[in-house]
Formats: sequence, C-alpha cells, structure tokens
Amino acid sequence: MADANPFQDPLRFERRVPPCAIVIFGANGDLTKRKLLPALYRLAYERRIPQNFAMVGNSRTPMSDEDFRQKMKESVQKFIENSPFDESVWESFEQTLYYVAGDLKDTRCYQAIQKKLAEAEQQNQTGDNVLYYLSTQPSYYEIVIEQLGKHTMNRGKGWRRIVIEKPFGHDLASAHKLNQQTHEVFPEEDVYRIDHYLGKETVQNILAFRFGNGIFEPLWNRRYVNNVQITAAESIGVEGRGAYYQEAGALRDMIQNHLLQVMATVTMEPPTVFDATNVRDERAKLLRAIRVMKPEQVPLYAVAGQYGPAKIGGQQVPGFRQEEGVDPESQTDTYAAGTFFVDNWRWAGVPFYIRSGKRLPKRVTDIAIQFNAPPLAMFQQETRMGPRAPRPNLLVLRIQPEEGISLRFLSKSPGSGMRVRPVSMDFNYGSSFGERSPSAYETLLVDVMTGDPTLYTRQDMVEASWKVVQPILDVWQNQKFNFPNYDAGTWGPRESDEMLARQGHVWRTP
Amino acid sequence: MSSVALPAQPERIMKELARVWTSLAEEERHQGGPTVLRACAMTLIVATDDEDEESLAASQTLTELMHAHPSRAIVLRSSDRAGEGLSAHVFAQCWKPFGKAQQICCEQIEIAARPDQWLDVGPTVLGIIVPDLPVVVWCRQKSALRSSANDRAQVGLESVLSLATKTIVDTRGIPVPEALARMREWKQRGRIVGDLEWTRLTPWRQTIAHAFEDFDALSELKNIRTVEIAYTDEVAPASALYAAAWLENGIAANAALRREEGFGPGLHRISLKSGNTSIELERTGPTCIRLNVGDKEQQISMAGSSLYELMHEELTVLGPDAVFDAAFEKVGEIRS
Ligand SMILES: NC(=O)c1ccc[n+]([C@@H]2O[C@H](COP(=O)([O-])OP(=O)(O)OC[C@H]3O[C@@H](n4cnc5c(N)ncnc54)[C@H](OP(=O)(O)O)[C@@H]3O)[C@@H](O)[C@H]2O)c1
Repeated sequence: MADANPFQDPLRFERRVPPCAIVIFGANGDLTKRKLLPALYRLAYERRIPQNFAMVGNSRTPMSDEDFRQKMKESVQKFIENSPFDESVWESFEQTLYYVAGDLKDTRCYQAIQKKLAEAEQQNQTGDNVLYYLSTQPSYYEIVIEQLGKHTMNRGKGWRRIVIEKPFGHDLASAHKLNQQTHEVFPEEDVYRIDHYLGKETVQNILAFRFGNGIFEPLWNRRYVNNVQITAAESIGVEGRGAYYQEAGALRDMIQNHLLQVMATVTMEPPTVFDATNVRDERAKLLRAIRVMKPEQVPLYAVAGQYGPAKIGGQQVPGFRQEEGVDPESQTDTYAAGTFFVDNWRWAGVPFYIRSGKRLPKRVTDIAIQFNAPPLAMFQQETRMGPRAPRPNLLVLRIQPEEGISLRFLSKSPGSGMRVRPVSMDFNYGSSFGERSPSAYETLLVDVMTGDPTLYTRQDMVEASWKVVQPILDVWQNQKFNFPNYDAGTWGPRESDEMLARQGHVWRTP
Repeated sequence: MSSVALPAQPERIMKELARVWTSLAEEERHQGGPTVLRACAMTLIVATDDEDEESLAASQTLTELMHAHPSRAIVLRSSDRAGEGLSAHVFAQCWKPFGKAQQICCEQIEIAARPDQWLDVGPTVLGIIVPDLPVVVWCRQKSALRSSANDRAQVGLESVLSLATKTIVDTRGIPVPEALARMREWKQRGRIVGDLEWTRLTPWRQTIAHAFEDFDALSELKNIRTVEIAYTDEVAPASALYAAAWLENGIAANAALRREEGFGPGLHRISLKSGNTSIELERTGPTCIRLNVGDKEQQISMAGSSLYELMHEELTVLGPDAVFDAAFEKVGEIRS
C-alpha cells in the first residue's frame, strides 16, 4: 500500500477531483453551457481540479479546441452564479479543454475521441481514468453506450465511469431495457444516473435534519403524522422547450424521478451507516414499498392537468397548446398530482400527496408534514367564521427558493382569555443567509469523479419509481382529457382539490 | 440602534436587546411585511483597542460574517478615550437576502472601557453571552499577544478569554516570538487558539497536498532534500514559520527560510526539490500563485485570503485542529 499523503487536512481542504479525463457528449448543448462548465470552472477556482485533468467535448458543430475554449469561456462568464471569474485561473483551466467534432451515429467519431483522449492523457497524465458524461438527447444514450463498448472504451488501465442524464427511460419497459443495454457495457458500480435534486444542499439537509437530531424521528411515523404534501411548482411555462416537454409531461419530468426521490429521502428508514450502499438500500426499499395503483384506482388517486391561457399581472400568457412547437390538441400533463401510500409499518395508511406543475402561482418546492391534532381539542381558535378547533402542527421543509424549516404551533393570543392562534417558528439555512452553497452539479461531479455514488440513483431505484408511475401513465395514455383544465397562474385543476377532499384533506397554499 | 449609552449591566443590556427586537417586529408589521427572523449560532466577541488600525474593516467583516455565522456579536473596545465606567450600545444588524421578503437580523452590543477598567468587563460579558452555544473571541488587541501588556487590562481580557470555546488571533505584524509564547501559554491551559497567519496558508498547503496526491511517486517525498521558504517582510512572518514547521512534519528535510523581493506581504515562495523533480509555488499577483511541478505550470487562485474569508474558515473549525497543533508544536524548532 502506498504511504498516506502527510499533507492532507480534511478539516480544511474540500474533497478534490482525482486525476482523470471527462468526455462530455452534447458539449454544444444547454446543460454543458449552463451547468457543467460553470461547475467545473468553479471547482478549478476553488483549487479542486488537479493539473492532471482534461475535458473532451463532443458534438457535431465543427470547432477547433481554441473555438471551443472561447465558447466555454463566454458561457462560464455568463452562467456562473455567486462566484468571481478569475482570468488567470481560467487561462490555466482552459488548457485542459479539448474538442472533437463528430456525429454520434458515426463510428469515426469514437475513434477521434479515443485519439483525443490519448493526446490529453499524454499531455496531462490523467492516469487513464475516464468519465463519460451523456448530455445528449436521450435517444442517443443507447447508441453511445453501445459504441463505447464496441471501441473498448469501457475498459482501460484506470477506471471508466458513465453519467447518464435524465430522463432515464420513457417508461418502465424502456428504463429496464436501457439498464440492460448499459450493463452489457458498464457494470452497475460504474453507472451514475444523475438526479440533480439529490445533489441539492437542501435535499441533503433533510438527511441531516432527520438523522442528526434525536427529537424528530420519534414523531416521524403514522402515529403522529396525518398526511404529507410535496409540492414542486413552477411559475414559468415551457420556455421554448415545448416540443421536448410535450413528449414528457409533469408526471415523467418531475414526479417519477425528482419528487419520488425526495419522498424517499423524507420517509426512508435511518441507514445503519452513512455510506453509499446503506443510504441507497434504504431509499430503494422505501421506493419498493410505495403501493402500486390498480388501473381502476388511477382516477381516484391521480390527476392530470394542463394550463390554458390567462392574464397574469395584467399580461396575457399563452396556454400550453398555444406554446411554440406544441400540438394544438396536445394531451400532455403540465400538471400532475397523485396520492401515494407506503405499505410499511412506519407509514401504513398515511397519504402522501405529490403535485407538480407549470404556470402555477409561484416557484416553490417544499414538503409539508401535517401532524395529527391533539387527542382532545381543549382550545378554540378565533376565525372569521367564528371559533373552531385549531389547526394542528405543521412542519415544512422548504427546498426552494428559501431553503429552511418552519414549524407551526399554537400559542396563546396576548390578552385575557385562553384564545390560541397558530404561529410559525422559522429557520433558514446558511445558504439563505447569503452564503454561497455549491451547485448540485459541483457536488455531483466531484462525487462521481471520486467514485461516491451515494447521491446517484441505482438501477433498482429507477425501476422501482417507474413501477409506481407506470399504471398512471398507462391509464392516461388511453384517456382523452378535456384540456385545458386550469388557468395559468392558479394552483391547478379542481379535480386535484377533490382528490384530497375524498380523504378529508385540503392542499395547503405554499 | 440605542442612541444613548447604557450602563453596561447585563440586565440593562438584555432589556434593551428585547426592546430592539420588539420594535423591529413592530416596524415590519406596520409595513405589512413578514416578521423579522432572528438567527443565532454563537456568541462572537471582538476585542479591540485604539491600536487597531483596521477596526473599520474589521467591523465590516463582522457584519459580513453574520450572514454565514449568525451570532450575538459583542464588540469590546478598550480605549483611553472612553468615559468613566463601562458603557454599552445595543443595536440590530439587519439585511434582506437578495430577492427575499423576510429580513434577517443579528444583535450587536458594543461595550467601551478604559484599559484600567477592563477588570469589570468579564462579569458583564458573562451575563450577556448566548446560553448553550459556542463563544468565539476574535482578539484584535495586539497588546494581548505582548508580554509588556498592562496588567489590569491583561487580567480583564483573561476573564473574557476564559469564556471562549475558541480564541482567534492574528500574529501578522506582531513580534513573532512573543506572540507565539503567549499563544503557547493559552494552549497549555487547554484553550483552542486559531491564528489567521495559519489560515493564510490554506491555499498554499492545499496546493502542496494536492501536488503529492498526483505525484506518481508519493514515494518521491522521502527523496526531497531541499525545502525553501521565501517571504517579503523584513523578518520571517509567522506564516513562513508555520509553513516550515508543517512541511518538516511531512518531509525529512530542514526548511531554509529567506527574504526575497516579490509579491507579498508574507509568504512569497515555497520550493521543494528532490534529485528527480521539483515543486514550486510562487506568488505572482495579489490573488494568484503559480504552481510548477517539474515543467508543468498551473495558475492557482488564492481565493480565501480576504479578512472575511479567513475568519469564515476559522469559524467553521471550532473544535481542536490537529494539523495546526502539530505545526505549532514544531514551530519552536524552526530557525528563521
Ligand atoms: N438543459 C437542462 O437544464 C437539463 C436539465 C436536466 C437534464 N437535462 C438533460 O441533459 C441532456 C442534455 O440536455 P441539453 O439541454 O444540453 O440538450 P441540447 O441543448 O439539445 O444539447 C445536446 C447537444 O448535443 C449535440 N448533438 C445533437 N445531435 C448530435 C449528434 N447526432 N451527434 C453529436 N452531437 C449531437 C447538439 O450540438 P450540435 O448541434 O453541435 O451537434 C446539442 O447542442 C438531455 O438528456 C436532457 O434531458 C437537461
């Protein structure tokens, strides 16, 4: 065994990237420009990228290495958030960027990438470690993986890993097929399916909140929790991505991946050890415990919606069907909501309501845990409609935009008489105090390059979450909706409120 | 802010603090906004005096620090110009995070005293620290690190330091042997002490640590025979001595220190050489270090070196710091 590095100081030095090369497929695309390059640059700025590093970009547009570097520089300057741009750091960093123009359908493209990798390895001694990042349209995933196998680019002296962007499959069958095809070329431990929600500081904070504190966990079960509401609302529409979105819809785009993962984070059992295997085992176990709906239950437990045109703040906004590239008869769900149950001892009988939509009144993602009322209603709360039993405790975990936690409880109204009213105790996390926290992509890129898959989704997790949404997709597929069924700028269709009313609940207003 | 100076008695100060919070909440309610949010992760005491030339920059830094480390800030000023008896001002520092409706506020208490009245400061501070949370003292009084300090002031300061979970000093510009001797005394009493001169080394240390991660031969480490540390100041600053001590803890070679012209102040260059290869870091600008490993060159940012960033780093390491302690132990053996 090699000696340990005597100069390491984990208390003060952030984890850094090991020597390696990263190949980005789709390097001329939006994700590379907005997220990946700014994240890599920021890591360089924080002295976390070694000299022995290289990034090889690929897409079809012909560009020299120089052109590509210039283009990436402009993107980083434009999209980097809360971070200075240091010219001299960039000059050093850009020397590690290379570009190969080529079509992914053309086998010569892979030969050219191999050649470029060899060149980068020679110049930068990347230890022959290679990370492939699939940031292309999903229809290319299979082709690229197959070609990487054919060119034996999946093996070498160093490690080979692959990051696959969302969406992972279009349904359960295609996700399963993609998993099989991937495994023909890369073993599961080298496959990193990205779900950038799991990389958010806020989502990781849920784990710290639950398992770092002793006082909440005893309440975290069916005895005390009445229902849980998970909301991911966007105020914007499809912003020019109508054609893409039309194929996906809210259920696929948000609930199948991000929100079910968030739900698993909130409800999973405590892992015995905080490592990749244990954390992912618990997440997977929870996802498998979510009850799969029977087709006849779908109309009762799931709601699809699509926004129609409306005036917001005096401005006319188009309906989904009026958006560019969208079929005027489109049946796509821009809003989806579901009632889910977890069939395990901890959660049996507690409804989990999940909703996500576009063109809702505001951008907000949060999880609200509604606790049971006290067994005896001793106090009355004054309301405009007269006195009534007070609303019980609510714990809200806010993910964005204002990360934090608030707990609603009752307190006595000042004055004589025992009148009570709900008050909210708020806590905002460090990032809300103006402190910069790393972007999800910074965290996830360092994780994959250092070989830590804790925050990545595993095959069984992906398939389990597809299993949960598949019956809904199947029923919706054969249904003709009377869309639009909600106005832009409202909290979604009436059917969604009715779905909760059937359980005696109401959606809260975030 | 309370416009009048209060007598610095804990009950008076706490009462005034409560009044400040109530009036802030009322102000917000009148404007129909959400109520102010109060946050606190520690008590941060800043001890300063007339000699502190950068007290303005320090107070700005204190405000900035409140964002990431919301605290009850207590500024203790020792001043010949202070009036008879201790007096206190109480106010809240508020800001709205960008794009957010809610205002976040932290409390600040300023107490001024003449040096000969410092004996009275300790009991007051004891009554106003936040219970159950860490107490950090940022000691900016240079006299505290000198042996010649006025006795009464020293004893007064000691009573404040004895409350601290951690004390942070900056030995830059102070005769190093005296400062280190005083820090050693504190450490021998079991206190946790941080020195910003050590924090300034983080970009250098991190770069060296990384260079050895990549080095084909971490084994090459044992072949390193020459360690050179250059600084731009008249005499070797504490950062140079710490760097030497830290390196000697990892390499079986003695470090040579020397003065050199170039970008400063403080550390300017670190070179490590074996028969086969060399690692050299040289400061090439106010925020930049050039790293050469063999014939490969890289520009490294010195991000993390502003007063705010140095304090931010120290406030995130509140417990024991084994690496610093080991370097501190060794520093007595280094010859400048
Ligand atoms: N954008 C986001 O914020 C976001 C968020 C989450 C997940 N994702 C996922 O990330 C992936 C990439 O998203 P994106 O928005 O960056 O997509 P994009 O903008 O469409 O970029 C893909 C790039 O691939 C290149 N390309 C297309 N066909 C090619 C071919 N046959 N051979 C080689 N290159 C080809 C194109 O550049 P040329 O024209 O130069 O070939 C294009 O710029 C997708 O899977 C998406 O679902 C994106």
